[in-house]
Amino acid sequence: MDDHLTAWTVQVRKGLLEVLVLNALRSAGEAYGYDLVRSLAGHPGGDLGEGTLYPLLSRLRLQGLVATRLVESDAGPARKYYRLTPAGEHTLDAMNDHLDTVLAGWKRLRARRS
Amino acid sequence: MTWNDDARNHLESRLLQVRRGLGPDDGDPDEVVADCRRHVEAALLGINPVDVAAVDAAFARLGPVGGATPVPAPVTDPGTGEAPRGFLWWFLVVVLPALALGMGLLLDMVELIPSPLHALLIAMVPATGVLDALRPGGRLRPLRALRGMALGTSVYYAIALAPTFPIAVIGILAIGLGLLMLAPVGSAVVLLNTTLRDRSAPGIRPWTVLWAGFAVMVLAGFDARGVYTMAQLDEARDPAARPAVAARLAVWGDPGMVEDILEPSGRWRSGPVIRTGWSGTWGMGESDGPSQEVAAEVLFRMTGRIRQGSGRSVWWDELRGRQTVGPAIHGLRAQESRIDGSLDGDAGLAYLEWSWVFANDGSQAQEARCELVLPPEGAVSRLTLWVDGVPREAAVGSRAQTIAAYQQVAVREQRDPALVTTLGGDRVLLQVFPVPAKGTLRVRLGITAPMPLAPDRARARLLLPVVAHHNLESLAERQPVWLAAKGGVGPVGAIPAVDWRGEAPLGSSVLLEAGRSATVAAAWTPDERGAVVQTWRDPEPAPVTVVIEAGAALAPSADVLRRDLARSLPAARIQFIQDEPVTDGTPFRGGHDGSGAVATAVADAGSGGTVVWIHGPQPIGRRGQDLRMALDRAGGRLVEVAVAPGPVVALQATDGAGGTRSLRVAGDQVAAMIATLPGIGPVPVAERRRTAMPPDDAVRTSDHLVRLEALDRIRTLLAGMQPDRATAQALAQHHRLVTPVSGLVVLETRAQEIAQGLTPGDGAVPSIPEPETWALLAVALAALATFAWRQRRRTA
Repeated sequence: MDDHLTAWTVQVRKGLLEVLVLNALRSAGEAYGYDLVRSLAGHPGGDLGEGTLYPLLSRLRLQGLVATRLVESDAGPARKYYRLTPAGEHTLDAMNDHLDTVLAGWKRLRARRS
Repeated sequence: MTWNDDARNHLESRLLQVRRGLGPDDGDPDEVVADCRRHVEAALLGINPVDVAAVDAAFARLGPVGGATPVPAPVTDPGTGEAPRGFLWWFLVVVLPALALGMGLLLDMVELIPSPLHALLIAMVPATGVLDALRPGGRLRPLRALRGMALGTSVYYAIALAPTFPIAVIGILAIGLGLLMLAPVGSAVVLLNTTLRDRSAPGIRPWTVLWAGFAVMVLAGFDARGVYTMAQLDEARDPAARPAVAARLAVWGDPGMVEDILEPSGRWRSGPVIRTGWSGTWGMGESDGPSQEVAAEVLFRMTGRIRQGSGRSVWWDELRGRQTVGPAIHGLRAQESRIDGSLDGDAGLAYLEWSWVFANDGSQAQEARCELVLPPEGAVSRLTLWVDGVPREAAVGSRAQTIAAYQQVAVREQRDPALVTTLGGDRVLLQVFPVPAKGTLRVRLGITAPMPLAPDRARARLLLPVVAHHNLESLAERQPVWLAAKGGVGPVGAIPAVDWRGEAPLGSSVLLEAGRSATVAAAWTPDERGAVVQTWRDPEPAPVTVVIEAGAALAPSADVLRRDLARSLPAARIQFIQDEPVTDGTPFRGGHDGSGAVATAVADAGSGGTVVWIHGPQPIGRRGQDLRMALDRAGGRLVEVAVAPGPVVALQATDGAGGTRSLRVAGDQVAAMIATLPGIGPVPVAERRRTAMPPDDAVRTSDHLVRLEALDRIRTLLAGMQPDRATAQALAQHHRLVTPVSGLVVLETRAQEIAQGLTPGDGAVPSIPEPETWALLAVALAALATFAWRQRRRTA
């Protein structure tokens, strides 16, 4: 049973991670990887490392939802900043709406039982 | 921030693990890896020096990347790259190159795999393919070196064979063959692609490129000498350019490659690869390559050696029936050779019989050809061939008749002929055919020769005949010699014996001396008109010019020769030549055509002069006619002295010109040998004449004296600007002598001889009794003497 729950939790987290990151990015306007990790750290299901974040952001970039720019640094390696593209804004709105609908339905189902 | 090597390698290994762990939903692997790199490098800021532990700590902070969990990375080869090792990899990098190598070795494609080095480099391609695909751990540097050399080899062969690709494509489309020719380009493309895709491992590309460059340089370096050699051979199509080409090739040419043109069956000595591809040798344009004639001359000029070879397998001998010895034929050998002789020291006269048994271990009947050097002023006066075990004497005819008859029977009808013709000087060519497959053929030459007297007139000397050049795969170094002489005979310095039995080398003349009474002033023998008388007069001093070829054959004996000549011929003018006269001190190297320079020396020497030409092999003789003209016009004497085996082609043009003598002696014996010749050393000069009555004090000798006197007249008739060839020919045929205008030939039947216009043999020349006969006679005489002694005792 625990195994099933763990697997389900991972699936939920995986499904929600994208929308969490996109929302964090919208709220920050523009952020680099570590900023995003920190901003998500306080939210339930938002604990993730850069190792998880970078592949996700790379995929979002390939999908045209985020854009990046490199900013050179005197102290060390260049920093890579991410921001939402217009398509990303539009998609995030749709994702949020869809999630709201799904959660509303879920709440209704749960209330009916109780 | 400083990194130690381990840390840097560890970082790359961990990043490679990151790359390998990424799934299809994990974005752009390059970008993710670059992000991780930046993250780690940022995390390591302030750490100095960065070590493996610090790198691991940085990766720990990064957390799992994508869906994978990084594990401690083994020290693996980042150079194995990330390109897929699928069907194309196995087919183009492993299977096709391995097949190409196997077929190349199996079919003996020495043009493409000319050396073990080439085979090894080609083998690296499939070997790299297998190792790379299996990704063995812990072998970082060897594998990247292997891949680099495999890539270099593939690229080199792809470039070398590029011109053949259209043919290969057409071949594949038309008949489904030709894929192997595309093997190098296939492996080159795949290996190059793999290398270029190794972006996550920055170390691999420079190393691969470096090793690829190394392989290309090795192959190109190996081929460069061959390409240079081939280019020079192209230039040597112009005969005038050949001396210069040979001089250049002697410095940096590949003699083995030139030999390969002459003996194409040789392994590991062909190529070059790049030339093979670009000259279109595969499929078209092979005729563009240098001819064997060009290669043979260049090789001779480079090395001073002629193409004798160790015996080649021939199904059809293109030289059969021709007046050229040519290279050795596989399986053909002299099973036996022996000289028997009867010497008359008082008369200064020798008759020798040289018996040969030729054997053929091959599967085809072959022609044996031997160029022989007779004793000076000697001539072949008898030729016997055993046909089905029965001896057949030679027929005599004009030179043209005998050659035509031999060619008719030998080349076209392939029956049993033997032929002896002159080759200029004292050289003759013996040809016999067929030496049957797995069988033998027996032939015997009779040689009549004068014996010059020693200055004290108490000894008569004989230089034994030798073989100058032959097409036999093997020939014994020495042969038995059995000689009989009333006054005793033996080598110089040995105790003479009436019946001398010894051994003599086949390749260089031995000087024998026969005892004689110094008081004998004349010898005679009856002939048709009375008698032929031989007397001797004291020599008159004559100018001698010694012309020495500054070639490789003379190099070992050059110093001894200089010293001995200065001692034995102090008045002689010594001149050094190559193709042209050179100064003393010119290095003795290579081979040369001395015919032009000798012609000039003969012309300069004039009518009373003698030119001694000491030389190595002379297979070119481009100015033989000039030499002939010089001899005819100047009327001087030429003594050609060969110190190495081989033909003297220029002599053939001089055949019949007066006073040309031949010697074949070892280099350190030259001075001693030429001093025994009349006209050079203080040797009494023999004179032969016909007379009605011999002098009272003359000793009688055999009728070989008649033949020697006839030879004198024939030489006189043929010398000069207006030779009387018809009279000379009639005289030669009458005495059954091999001369420039006559030959001896044995055909299978008397009818064949008559049909060819020849005069059949009659056995007029007396034979030396066979050694077996000698022994039988001795036994019989001993038995008779014993019987008579017992009878006398009984009577008493």
